[in-house]
Amino acid sequence: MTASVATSSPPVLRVESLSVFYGKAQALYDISFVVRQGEFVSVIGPNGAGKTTLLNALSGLVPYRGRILFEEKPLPPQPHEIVRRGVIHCPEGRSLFPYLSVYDNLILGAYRRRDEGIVRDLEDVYELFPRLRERRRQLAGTLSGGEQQMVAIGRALMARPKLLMLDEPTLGLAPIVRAHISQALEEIRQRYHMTILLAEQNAEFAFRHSDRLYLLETGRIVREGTVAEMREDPYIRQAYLGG
Amino acid sequence: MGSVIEVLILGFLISSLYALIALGFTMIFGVAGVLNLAHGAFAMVGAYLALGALEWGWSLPAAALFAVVGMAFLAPLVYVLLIRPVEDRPIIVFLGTLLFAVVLEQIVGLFFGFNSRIVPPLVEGILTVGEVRIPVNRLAASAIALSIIGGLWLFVNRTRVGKAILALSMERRGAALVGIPTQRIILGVWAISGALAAIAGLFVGSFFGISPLEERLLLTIAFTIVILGGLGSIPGSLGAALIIGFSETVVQQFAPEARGLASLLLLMLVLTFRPQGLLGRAAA
Amino acid sequence: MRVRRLSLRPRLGSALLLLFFALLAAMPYLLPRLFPEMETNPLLLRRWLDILVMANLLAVLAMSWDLLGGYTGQISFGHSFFFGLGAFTAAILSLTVDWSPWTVIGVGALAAAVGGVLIAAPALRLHGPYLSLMTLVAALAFDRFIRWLKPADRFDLGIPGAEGAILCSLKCFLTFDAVAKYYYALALLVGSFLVLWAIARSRIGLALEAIRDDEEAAQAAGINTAKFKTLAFSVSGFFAGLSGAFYVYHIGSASPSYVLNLERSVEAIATAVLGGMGTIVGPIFGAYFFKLFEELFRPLEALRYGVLFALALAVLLLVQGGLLSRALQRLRGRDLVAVPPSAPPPSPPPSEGLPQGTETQTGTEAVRR
Repeated sequence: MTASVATSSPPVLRVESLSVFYGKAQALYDISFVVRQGEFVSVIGPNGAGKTTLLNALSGLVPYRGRILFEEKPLPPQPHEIVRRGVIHCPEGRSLFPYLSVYDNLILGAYRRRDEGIVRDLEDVYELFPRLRERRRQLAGTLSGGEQQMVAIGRALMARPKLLMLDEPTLGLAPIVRAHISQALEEIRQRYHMTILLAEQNAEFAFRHSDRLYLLETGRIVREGTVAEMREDPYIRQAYLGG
Repeated sequence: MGSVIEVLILGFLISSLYALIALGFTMIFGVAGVLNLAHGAFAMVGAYLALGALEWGWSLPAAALFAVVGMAFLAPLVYVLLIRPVEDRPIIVFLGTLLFAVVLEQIVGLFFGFNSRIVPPLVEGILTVGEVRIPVNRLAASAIALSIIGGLWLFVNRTRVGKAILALSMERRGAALVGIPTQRIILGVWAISGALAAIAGLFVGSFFGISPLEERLLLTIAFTIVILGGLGSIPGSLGAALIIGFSETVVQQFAPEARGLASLLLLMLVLTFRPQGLLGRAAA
Repeated sequence: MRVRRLSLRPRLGSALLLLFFALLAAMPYLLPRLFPEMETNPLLLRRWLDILVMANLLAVLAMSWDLLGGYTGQISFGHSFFFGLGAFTAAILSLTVDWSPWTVIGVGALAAAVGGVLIAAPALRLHGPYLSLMTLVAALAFDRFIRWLKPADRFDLGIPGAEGAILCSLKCFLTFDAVAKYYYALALLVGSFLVLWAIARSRIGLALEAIRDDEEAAQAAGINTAKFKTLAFSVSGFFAGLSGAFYVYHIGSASPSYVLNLERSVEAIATAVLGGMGTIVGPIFGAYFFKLFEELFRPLEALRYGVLFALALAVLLLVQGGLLSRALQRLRGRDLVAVPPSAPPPSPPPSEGLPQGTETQTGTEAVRR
C-alpha cells in the first residue's frame, strides 16, 4: 500500500482490519485506513459497496470485528458513548425526528453536551443555514429534502464533532441545493478546521472536497491516494470520473 | 337529575383511571415498539403488592409506595429477562407477554387466592352536593390520576430527557446517533410504565376490587383504548379513555345487562373501518 | 418470522405418529391391564377415558389454532369464539331440531367456519396486534351477547345460576358407552389431524407460510393473500367449532363460563406452543401433555396451570424464540445463521488477546428501527 499522504499531522482515526457480518454474509473485509487531524477524507464506491456499513460500524450501529482507534484509544461499543468521544455520524436518510420542531432537532444534537456554548453553536448553525432559522418552529418532517439535510448537518454540528462523518449528504437533492450544501461543507471546514469523513457515491462531489480518497468495492478497499493521485488512476478515471 | 350528573362525574372519574392504564401501555409501544400484553397483569400485581404489604402490617401509604416502586423495578426486569432477548420477533414477544401474564395470574392466585380483594380507600367519606353523592376516594384517585397524566405530559414535552423519549419513539437510529443512551431510556420508560400500571391497579382495586384474573379486563381496556386512540398516540389514548369510560358508565347505569357489549361493538366497528384509530398518529 | 419445525425425519415421524395413534386405539384395553383397579372399578376407567376424550378435543382446538397462528402467522386470542360458536350452535340445534348428532356437530362446525369468514373479512385489512385484538373482541362480545340473550330461557333449560348456559343433556348425547365415545373422539382427532396435515402440506400450506413470513412479499409473488387468509380463518374456525360441538355432546351442556372462557383460547395457545408451533402434529402431544399433567398433579390445584403456562413460556422463548440455539452456538463459537436482515446479529465472539475495540457490540439492539 502506498503511504502517500499529503498532510503529516497525526492520525485521529485508525481503523485496523475491520470486518462486518450480516448473519453469514460478510459486508466488509479487513478494512484498514487512517484519517489525519484536519483532513477531509472520502470513501467512494458504487451502491452496495459497504460505505454505509463502514460508517455504521464506526458509530456503533453495527457490530464488527477488528479495531477502531480514535485519538489512540479504542472506540467504546455503544453509539451514545461514541458520540461522547466526538465522533458524530450524519446518517444516510438523515434520521431526523419528524414530529419535533427544527429547533428541537438541533438542540437534541447537543444531547451529550452540558457546556455553555450550545446557544452560540445554535446561532452558528442558523448563520450557516439561514433557512433553518426561519423554519425553526416547523416540524422537521414537513421540510423539503434539502432543508431536512441542512437540519441533519446542523444537528451533527451541534454535537461539536471532532470527527464528522457524512453519509451521502446530497443524495436525491436538486443541483441548486447540492451546491448550497457543498458550499456549507467548505465553510464548516474553514471555520472549525474539522476532520471530516465522507461516504459518497458521487465521485465528482467527493473529489471536489477531499484531501484523500479511498475506493471501496464489494466490501474491500481497492484504491487509495490523494485527490491528485486518484485523478490520474486510469481505472478510477474510467469507472468513476466518466473517462 | 342528580343521577345523571352523578353518572357524568363518575364517567369522568373512571375515564381518568382508564387513561392511566392505557398510558403506560401506549408508551411502551411508542418508545420500545413492544405491545406488552402483561400490562394488565402489571397493574394487578401492583395492587397485590400493596395488599401483601398491608397484610404485613404496613400503613396504606407505605404499601401503596411499595407497590409503585416495586413495579417500577419489576417491569424493566421483565423487559431485560424475557422480552429483549426475542425483541426482533414480534409474534414471540406477543405470545410471550401473554403467557407471562397468565403465569403472573397463577402466581398471585397461589399466594392470595382467586377471589376479588378490595384495596382500602385512600380517603374515606362521601361528598354530597345537593343530590349528587360522590365518594371522596374516587375524587382523590381521579385527581391523582389526572395530575400524574399532566405531570407526565410536562415531563415528556418540556424536559431534556422527555424530548429524548419523544425522539426515540420517532426515530431510533437518529436518537442513538445524537448520543441518547437508547437502552437506558427504554429501561426508564418500562419503569414509568410499570409504576403507572401499579397506580392504576391500586385505584381499580379500591374502586371495584381486584382479582388475579381481572387483569385480563384491565388489559382489554388498555388495548381497546390504545387501538381506538391510535397506537402510540398519547392524546389519542386520552380521548379514547373518555369515550370508553363514559360509554361504560352510562351503559352500566341505564342498561346494565349490556355492559361491556357496547364498547366492544364500538371497537369492532373502529377496527373494521378505521384500523389506524379514531385519531390516528399524532405527535405526543 | 421463522418458526422452527420439528426436525423428525418424515418417515420416522410418521411411523412414531402411527404408533402413537395405535397406542391410543388400544387404550380401552390397555388401561385395565396396566391399572388393575380399573378392572374392578369401571367408573375409574370411564373417568380416564373421559380425560383422554378431553385431551383429543383440546388437541383439535390447538391444531386449529396452529393452522392460523403457527402456519399463517395470524395470532388469534379468541379461539374460544370459534369453540363457543360450535358449542352453542350444537346445543341450540340439539334442542330445536331432530337431526342426528353427527349432523348437528357438523353444522356446529360449519357455523364456526362461517364465523371464521366473518372475522376474516375485517381481518384482511388488519395486521398483527389489530388482528389479535379483533379476535379477542369477537370472543368477549360473543360471551357478553350470550349472557345477555340468555338463549336457554326460551327452552326453559337453563342452568340455574349459570348465566346464559344451556343444559341439553337429554338431547345432546352421543352414547352412554364410554368406550364408544372414546373411539368417536379418537376418530375426530385422527380425522382432523389428517385434513389439517394435508392442508399444511399442500400448496395451500406453502402459501400460508409465505403469508406468515412476509405478507407483502407473498402478495408480490402473486399469492392471493386475502383468499388464503380467509381460507385459513374458516378452516381454523371449522375445526375449533367441531371441537366445541363435540364437547357439548360429550358434556351435555354449553355454558359461557366454560366454552366462551378466554381460558380456552389461552389453553389452545399454550398447548400449541408446548407441542411446537407451526407443526400441526405438535399440538396433539401438547394436548396430551397438558391434560395428563392437569390430571396427575391434581393435588397442586391452580398451581398446575402456573407450571404449565410457565413451561409453555419457556418453550416459546428457548425453542421458538431461538434462545437455546443461540446460546448453544455461542458456546460452540460458531457464526450465527438465519437471522432476519432487519436485525444484525451480535458479531461472533472476539478472538482472544485483542483489546476492547473488537468486542461484540451490544448497542445495535438499541437502534434497530
